Amino acid sequence: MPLALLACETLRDELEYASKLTGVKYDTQWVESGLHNYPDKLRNQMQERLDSFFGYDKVLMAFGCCGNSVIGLKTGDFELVIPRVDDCISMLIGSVEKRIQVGQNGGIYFLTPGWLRGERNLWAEYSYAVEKYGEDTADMVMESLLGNYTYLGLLDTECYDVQEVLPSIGHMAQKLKLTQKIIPASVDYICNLLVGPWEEDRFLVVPPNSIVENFLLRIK
Amino acid sequence: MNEELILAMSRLDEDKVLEIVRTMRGQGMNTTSIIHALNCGMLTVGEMFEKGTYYLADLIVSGSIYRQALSVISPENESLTEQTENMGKVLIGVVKNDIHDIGKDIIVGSLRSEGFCVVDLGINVPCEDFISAVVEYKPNILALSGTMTFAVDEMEMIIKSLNEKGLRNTVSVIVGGISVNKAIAERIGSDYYSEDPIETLALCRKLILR
Repeated sequence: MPLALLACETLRDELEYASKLTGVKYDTQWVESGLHNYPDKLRNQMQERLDSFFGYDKVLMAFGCCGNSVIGLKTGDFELVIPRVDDCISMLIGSVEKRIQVGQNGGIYFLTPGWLRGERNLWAEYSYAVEKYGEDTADMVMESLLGNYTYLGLLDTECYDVQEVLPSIGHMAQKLKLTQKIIPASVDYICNLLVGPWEEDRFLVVPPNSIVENFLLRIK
Repeated sequence: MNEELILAMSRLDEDKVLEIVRTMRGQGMNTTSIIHALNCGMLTVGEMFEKGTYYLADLIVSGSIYRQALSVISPENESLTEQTENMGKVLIGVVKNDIHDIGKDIIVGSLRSEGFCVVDLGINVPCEDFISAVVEYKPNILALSGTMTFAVDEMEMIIKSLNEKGLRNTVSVIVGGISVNKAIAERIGSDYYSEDPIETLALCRKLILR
């Protein structure tokens, strides 16, 4: 059964680690990071990649539903497997429900090193604001963006050296006026995506030659 | 001068925007035209953000400039339009498990400056609190905001709950946020979908004045 993967660049580290753990490696099409604020753009890029898949029985999506960008996607002669999570953060934490639970005692802005490599990440936003408007206005901007957050949460997905990145995370947290926190995470969901089973409660499996519609992500 | 104001707003030139607004007010120009020019500038800002030219920081700065311009036009808490009657009541909040409120806050500020009575329930508002507030405040419009993908599920629950409690026909529902679009809004039973604060303001005006 030939399988392929459509993946977000943000998850590159975690996907490489999951591939090593599962022993599988698929033909992969990548989509650039940072499009979660632009669901229409993201959908277009996903569709462009999907339209290039031929000869596969299944295409696995290393994405969440990402702003409902998956709604409207069309499959070719393949099934499309979509994790039932809002975004990659919930995938790494384990589920949407766990993500909500983790954030119960103060809003957490989650990140990974992969996320920080993306063009339009939070630190890039801050740096841009400092350069264009100065530190005072940048602080105002960050207060607007992060005023309801308490923590900057580094997801420890066990595929990178946390101690190596902690100093830069600490620096960011200090500048953004957040408290640094390490959140246990894993690539279990990604491993499940790569090798199955693709059970109904964790994955939406879209039939060949159809459209993702009448689907909404439900919180259990 | 309108064109200059639109350009200054779209370029996020705070000093220029405030200078032009002061001049226009000094010349006795009506507030509706000034606000219209500001809104046109804000639409351009939104388009530039969509294109990737502007960052989130620029969007937030545009909101700040907009609010400052409104406060130059008129003292605090006074309606900025020639219509002095209360424009109607809007109940607004960010749905449960969501704490993103930038868009909501811009909408609240804009609506209040146009004379709307706005009840702002804040963030992470559970369904039952929305329903209680509809019963208590009897708003003309219920505006549901949410950024997270799962916010849509919550919005649908609120609309279903309005139906179950026999309140659905008492209020017009508008939904908005990154994870919502027109098709999704229709599917979950919302009356309207709004893409941005400017559209929300225009929609609320239309709904109250009809």
